[in-house]
Amino acid sequence: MSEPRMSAETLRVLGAMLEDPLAWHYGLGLSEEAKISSGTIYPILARLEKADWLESRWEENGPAESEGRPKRRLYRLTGEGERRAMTELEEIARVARRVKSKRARRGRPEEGIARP
Amino acid sequence: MELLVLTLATLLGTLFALEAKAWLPRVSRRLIASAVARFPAELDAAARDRWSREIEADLGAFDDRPLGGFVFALRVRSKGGRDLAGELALAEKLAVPEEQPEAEPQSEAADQSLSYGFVAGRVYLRRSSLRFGGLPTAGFGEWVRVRKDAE
Repeated sequence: MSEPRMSAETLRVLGAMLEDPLAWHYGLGLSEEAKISSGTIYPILARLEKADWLESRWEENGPAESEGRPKRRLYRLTGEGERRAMTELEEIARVARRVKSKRARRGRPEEGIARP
Repeated sequence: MELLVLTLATLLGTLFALEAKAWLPRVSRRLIASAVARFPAELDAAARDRWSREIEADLGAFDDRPLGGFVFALRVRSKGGRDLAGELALAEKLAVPEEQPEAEPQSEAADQSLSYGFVAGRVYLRRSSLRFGGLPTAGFGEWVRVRKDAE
């Protein structure tokens, strides 16, 4: 099992999926939820699925037929994926907190460094 | 005259919009097909078909917004398709174990020449050891000393 590369977009996708880890999502919907470019979502999904963080299946006929559209590919976090995604996001949050507290100790303003 | 130009421009604009509305979904589908065509050649047909169907299904969400669908397809073709092709190529590479180069079978003649080489080496070392005494490598120092004396 390969380790997926963590980009900002990947973290956003994981964040969007973690809001409801048991729900099934489709690519375009996820890109809108995660606010990333629609073209970027498929490589991320391929990467996460390959690493077994996601499971996927085709949508059932019912909703697609009633809405008169083709069946979508649906994705959901696996148990391992959910655990690992939480760890990754907590790690990022921990780093952000550390940076914030260091900046506060140095007396830098919260908004950013004032440039002359 | 101005009124005529304005009317013509409006008419042409409307016609162009209608044409674009009819053509854009087709162009979008062609763009998706082109993105899929860039996937690695090693990718099996089932995987290729799966991604093609998936992206086309998502394109279906833009049925009433052909321009939005065109932008989506353009993004998939320009960046998403390339990145996805890269991911899939990597996945293929990781899935297939690297072929280990097989050791070339040695011929009988090669085996024999190797054993001759060993024998010749041993004879040389034995002779040099007898000639110069001590370790075989001492022979070289002795040879240098003899050469210097001769000069």
